[in-house]
Amino acid sequence: MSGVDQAVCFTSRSELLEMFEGDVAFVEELTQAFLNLCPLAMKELHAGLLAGDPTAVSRTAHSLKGTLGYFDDGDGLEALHTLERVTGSDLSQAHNVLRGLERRLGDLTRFLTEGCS
Amino acid sequence: MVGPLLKESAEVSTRMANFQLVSSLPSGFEAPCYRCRQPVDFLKAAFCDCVTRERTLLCPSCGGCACEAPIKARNEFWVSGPPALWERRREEQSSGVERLQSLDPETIPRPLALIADDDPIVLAVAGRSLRAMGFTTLLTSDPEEALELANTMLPDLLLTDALMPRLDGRQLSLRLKSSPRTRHIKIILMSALYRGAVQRSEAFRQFRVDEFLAKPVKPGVLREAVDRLMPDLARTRQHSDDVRAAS
Repeated sequence: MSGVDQAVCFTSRSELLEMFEGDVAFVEELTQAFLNLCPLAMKELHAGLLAGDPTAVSRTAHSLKGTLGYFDDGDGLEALHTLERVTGSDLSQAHNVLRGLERRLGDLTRFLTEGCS
Repeated sequence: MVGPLLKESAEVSTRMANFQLVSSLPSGFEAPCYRCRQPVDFLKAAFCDCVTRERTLLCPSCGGCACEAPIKARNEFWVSGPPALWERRREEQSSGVERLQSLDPETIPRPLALIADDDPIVLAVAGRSLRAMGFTTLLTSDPEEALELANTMLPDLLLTDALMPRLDGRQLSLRLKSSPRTRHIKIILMSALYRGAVQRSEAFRQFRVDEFLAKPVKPGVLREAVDRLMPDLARTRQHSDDVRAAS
């Protein structure tokens, strides 16, 4: 998938502004809060997988999902949906999903910080 | 009752009391309103009526308060604020704690919405959306406190996350709908996990919610749901919008 294709699935700044009735300050704050949250959530997901703790993985995925949906309606949300339902028997598969999520969040972070609209 | 909501306000109040005043502007403190960008003498501005968290100054031009302004902008504003303004803020913070402790369901501005979610971003989005619709908002990340606030404040609307630690939003709904005192509260359940038709129907039938929304709840979707549940409120808002547009 090319960078442009990926961007299509992300919520653009103008869409966010439309969603929040042109409140630039609020959109800025929401974006910043999300950018701060992402690395912390990824750390927790990695730690949960390393510890073989599906409950921790599921809890973190669930909580990130509630926020990611404002910015990404596509693959990122799908990955979190999978991680949310992870069980002890499919933790090894979850590693691949997490790698995909990491790439996706990297793209989204660049999309948000480079001000694409 | 001193839950996290009150504790937070009390902590803010203590921080303010210990703050070293560094600015010394004698009178008048003009700065642009963060929302309408009009210059405002904030020494003459009133504090807002927001019920939760710290109250902020109202812009006399656009009527907006800074409660929804980015935290960075608020900090920058206050760092440059004169002692007289800090003094007023300190007084407001102290009275704000008392005010929260003595909240009276009879006098609190209505419509009143209680929002319960352990995700601060969801709380911010939902709070902003409901305030834009004319609600006074009470925000809490603690479902047990939500139950307590619902019983004491009798909000018109409860917007709650389905999955929260200690008390599930669905159980919260069931408890409130089972009590004659609180069964009138309109309840919207939000969930990022339970999105299927079965769970949706279960939420209505078994947990007696009035509306079920899949997360992320976007402001437009929330507005439509509230309008469906509270049509009188929608009509009043439409009327106010029309009057504003005409003037």
